[in-house]
Amino acid sequence: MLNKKLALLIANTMKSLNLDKVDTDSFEFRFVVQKVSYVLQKVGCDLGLKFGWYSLGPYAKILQNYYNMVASVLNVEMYGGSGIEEELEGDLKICVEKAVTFLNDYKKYVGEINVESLEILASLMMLCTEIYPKPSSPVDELLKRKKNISQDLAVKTWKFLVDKNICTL
Amino acid sequence: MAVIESGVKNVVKRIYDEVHGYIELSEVELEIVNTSVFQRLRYIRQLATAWYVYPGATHTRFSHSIGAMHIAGLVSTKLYKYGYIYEPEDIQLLRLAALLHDIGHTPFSHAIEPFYRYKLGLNHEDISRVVIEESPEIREVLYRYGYDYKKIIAIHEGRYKEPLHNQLLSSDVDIDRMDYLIRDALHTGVSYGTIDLQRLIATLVVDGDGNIAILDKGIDAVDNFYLARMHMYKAVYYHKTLVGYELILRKIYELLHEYYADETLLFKTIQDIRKAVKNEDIVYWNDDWLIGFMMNVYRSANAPKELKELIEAFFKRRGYKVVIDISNFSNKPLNVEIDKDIENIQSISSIIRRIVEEHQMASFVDDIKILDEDPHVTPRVILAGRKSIPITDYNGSIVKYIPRRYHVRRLYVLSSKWNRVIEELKLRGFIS
Repeated sequence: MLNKKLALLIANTMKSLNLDKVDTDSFEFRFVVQKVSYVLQKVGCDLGLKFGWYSLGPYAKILQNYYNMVASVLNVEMYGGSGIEEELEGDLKICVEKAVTFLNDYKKYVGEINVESLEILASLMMLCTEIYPKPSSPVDELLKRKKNISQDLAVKTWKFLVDKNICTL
Repeated sequence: MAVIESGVKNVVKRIYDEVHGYIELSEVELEIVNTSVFQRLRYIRQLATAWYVYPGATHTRFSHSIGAMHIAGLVSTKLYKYGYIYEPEDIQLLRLAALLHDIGHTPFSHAIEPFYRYKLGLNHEDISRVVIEESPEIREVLYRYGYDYKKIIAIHEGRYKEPLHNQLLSSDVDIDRMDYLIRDALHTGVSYGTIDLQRLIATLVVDGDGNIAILDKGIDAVDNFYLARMHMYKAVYYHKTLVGYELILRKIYELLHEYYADETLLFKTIQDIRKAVKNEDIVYWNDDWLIGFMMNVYRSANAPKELKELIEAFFKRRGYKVVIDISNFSNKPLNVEIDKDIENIQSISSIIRRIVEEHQMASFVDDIKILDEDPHVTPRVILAGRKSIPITDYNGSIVKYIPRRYHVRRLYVLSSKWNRVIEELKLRGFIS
């Protein structure tokens, strides 16, 4: 029913980026799981997840079934359980490494990774690669919908994605 | 621009619907309804084999699709009037998306759909996409009226540029559910499944961040919506006998695939489906085709014994009967790897396997979400006309307290073997 490997992939990526300190019962945790999974699928490997475009950005319904599993993997780790890295091998390990490298590059570029920057990053990636009809300016499209996000951060994120050849001008 | 309540500018037809009364159709909608691929939905029952338990549940995907279109019109017209939808043309777009949302459903709906999910990785939404992309009729009608079929597919897949449109078609309180809950409750007679649609629509708004929200004065209507859903899951969608008949039908379909590979409507690949849409063979891929095919197999002299036994059991209503049923509400996801009840069912299953043949038994385990608890799709409540909070955090709503999940763990055997199996399990002390 559930794919434990997927939970491990997500948990591993979150841990590598120090995103595992979020309260696992909170909405914020679920938000982070969604956005990290989206980035994993876009730059890491095909996880077979279907993401829709919602008011808070990319969202895959099936991930609701993984919140608890990801949380328990992270909680075991936090309380001194067995390391989760060893359980990932081969392609899966490479998948996480690619996503973590990408997100670390992003972190260097914009300063930090938090809920806001993850939302902007995942949303712009989706706007420029999957949304139909494709908006002429993904940044403007995002700013039009999200009045509270930083314009500077959105523009900076856009430049990062163009540099990485994920979005084109 | 003035828009009437149903959202239809030029009404060319009115269809009488048992749930909503007269439903108005525009020209483009009428032409879509008249295509042969849409007419196929007249022959697909909404609730698969539910009529084995609720004799009145013979309604079809055809009436549900038209009902969903009607609700899409009511909701989007209201949201347009209040300024949440900017373009009046989007009302027609949303109505068309709702009309076509189930165009790819398999025969016997959710009874057969899992077969394609496991075998080809396809669900009915994927097949809907193929039908819209490849059907010359659908494409031609949409093109002639100036509608981009890719927009409709994007809404179905949740990739449309307007998140609100995606939410209206697929979220916790969406148009699809609003229609099927009322329709299924009416036809099954499960009266606690009904909802207050008018109140729900009247209090539906969008908050400052673009999330679907409910005014606090409409909270009772939303509470009722969630409670109705919970009752329907338990009393109808996961009813033990009803699920037993879905399982036997799926098993029959699997065996037909195995033994009758030449049958063109038993699709093996997505290319087969694509081809059938192009040459219109898909029109006959419905409940009646499957029943007819089963009948022919049953009457043929050389049909495999186990297939004949299952078909006979299906037609004579002597299908799978539940032996063990451990179902309960929970707030946690079901972890099949460590669940003790599943472990017990597996032990019992290995004992039963010594008495009956493999096709004579079936197990069913599911973890059903009653409530989406997620910031992306959980509806919000607007408090005193200002701040919005997730309904799951609102003390004034019962939603905060209802169980999040319904765990189902069951073991079935064919009715003809049931007494023997029960006797054995009593002897071994598994049941009293």
